[in-house]
Amino acid sequence: MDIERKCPPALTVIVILFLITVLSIKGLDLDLSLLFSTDALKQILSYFYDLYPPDLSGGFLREALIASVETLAISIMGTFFAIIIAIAFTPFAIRTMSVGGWLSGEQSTKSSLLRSFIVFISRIVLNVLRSIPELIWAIIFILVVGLGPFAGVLALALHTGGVLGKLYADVLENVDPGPVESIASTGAGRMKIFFYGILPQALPQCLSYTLYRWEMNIRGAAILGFVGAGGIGLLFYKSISLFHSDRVLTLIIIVFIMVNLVDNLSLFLRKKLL
Amino acid sequence: MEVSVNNLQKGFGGEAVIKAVSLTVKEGERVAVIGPNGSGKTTLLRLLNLMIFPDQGSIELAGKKVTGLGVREARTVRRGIATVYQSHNLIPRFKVINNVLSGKLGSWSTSKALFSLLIKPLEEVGVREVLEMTGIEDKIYWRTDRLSGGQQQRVAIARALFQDPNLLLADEPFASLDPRSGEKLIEILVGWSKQKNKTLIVTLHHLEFALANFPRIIALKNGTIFFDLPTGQVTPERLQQLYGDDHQGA
Repeated sequence: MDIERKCPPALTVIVILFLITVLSIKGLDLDLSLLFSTDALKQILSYFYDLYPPDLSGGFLREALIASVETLAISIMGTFFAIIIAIAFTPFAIRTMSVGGWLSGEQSTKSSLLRSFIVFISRIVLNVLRSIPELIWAIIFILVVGLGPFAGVLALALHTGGVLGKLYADVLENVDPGPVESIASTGAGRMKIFFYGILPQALPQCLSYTLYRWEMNIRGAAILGFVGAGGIGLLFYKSISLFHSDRVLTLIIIVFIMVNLVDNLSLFLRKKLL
Repeated sequence: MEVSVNNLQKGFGGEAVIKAVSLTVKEGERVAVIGPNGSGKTTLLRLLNLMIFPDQGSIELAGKKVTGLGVREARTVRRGIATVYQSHNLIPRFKVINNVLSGKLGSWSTSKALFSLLIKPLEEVGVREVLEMTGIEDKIYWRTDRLSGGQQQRVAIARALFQDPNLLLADEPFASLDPRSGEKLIEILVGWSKQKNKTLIVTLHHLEFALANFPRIIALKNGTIFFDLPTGQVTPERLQQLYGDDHQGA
């Protein structure tokens, strides 16, 4: 039943990618020589030279640590609400599970039309959530709930919710149908088929995606402060604007440590899960 | 469970896979279904366990018409039919006991099923009993993917027996096993059928197995019944005609 797909030859793909790259450089009017001129090099070096030494005074360090904990908290809450959004939409975005999917045992044309419609709408909602960047969501929510971390949490939640919803739906849709059919053949209903046949197959992958998105949300949360959505980004913004370059270095170091800690934690958890 | 099929037809995407099949299998009877690849064996079994519905014709199980049933009624019928698949279809991450318990899902409530899965597996005694029948009771708390292919098929058979069905269907259950393990497992299925007087329908690739263990052979070819005979009347010539010249024998 599988339709054989013809793969384009590798060479064609490479040529096309090359052309796209060249056109992009042309289109954007990029002058690569600007980056590699001695003048540019000097400027970069002198900027980094100015950063040193970092500001390690107790008062600023305290402020920076509090802000980074806030960033961590924004990323955790944002991811948490994203999971809730994703779980709320996923069941409707999956062809096999939505209304009249074969799991419900019906195969009439009427229910299959309704199903296609519901799947289509759910997928569109997820796409909209996902295609609007966190930063834009943050600006929208600052207008709604005011400056501060809450706007950041909502921004991360909506964007990540869209991403996770799509990923969950794809994973759940692509589980091995064999065990699912064998559970269904015992006369089990949809819920039991889901918990015994589908979820156990999909869970490790879904958790892994979620942890990965959490990692990304830490970095995302650090940026959101730039537009006033709380966390360490706000300190970055202040320090850069006021030319406190020593403080910028402190913040860079803190973000580096935080991101690495979380990356390693997430890597460890994912290894445990798979 | 008596199985009675009348003028059954089923196609996929306009291509007829089962064409006008009629047959009756009595309660407690053991039947092997043989035939070349693509002859419709798997589709026939999926029609019998109500996982797909026929385009034409009717199926009666234990004297009750099961074609055209609603969702819930179909589920109730499925509880009495267990199916063993070629690729065992177990959840690799589950403990053996949870895979075996999933055979009873049709009669369990959702809350009971979740309790058993998340808190403590239920009915351990019953699970041990079927695992003993299939010879791997010592692996009851192993993760399923740590077992060999043959052991996993034993778990799949245990799951089917745990369901306590009136009709057991098996779709080339030993195709991916070595002949010796296949032989042992077929003895388990046949023994169960004899002891409990339950109907057993197995599609088989190995002709030897079919001829040695089943009193009746149904041969499918191109979606129709090519012959339906007591095993004693199945001659090499008939098998030759069934498979054509390219068949290498069992």
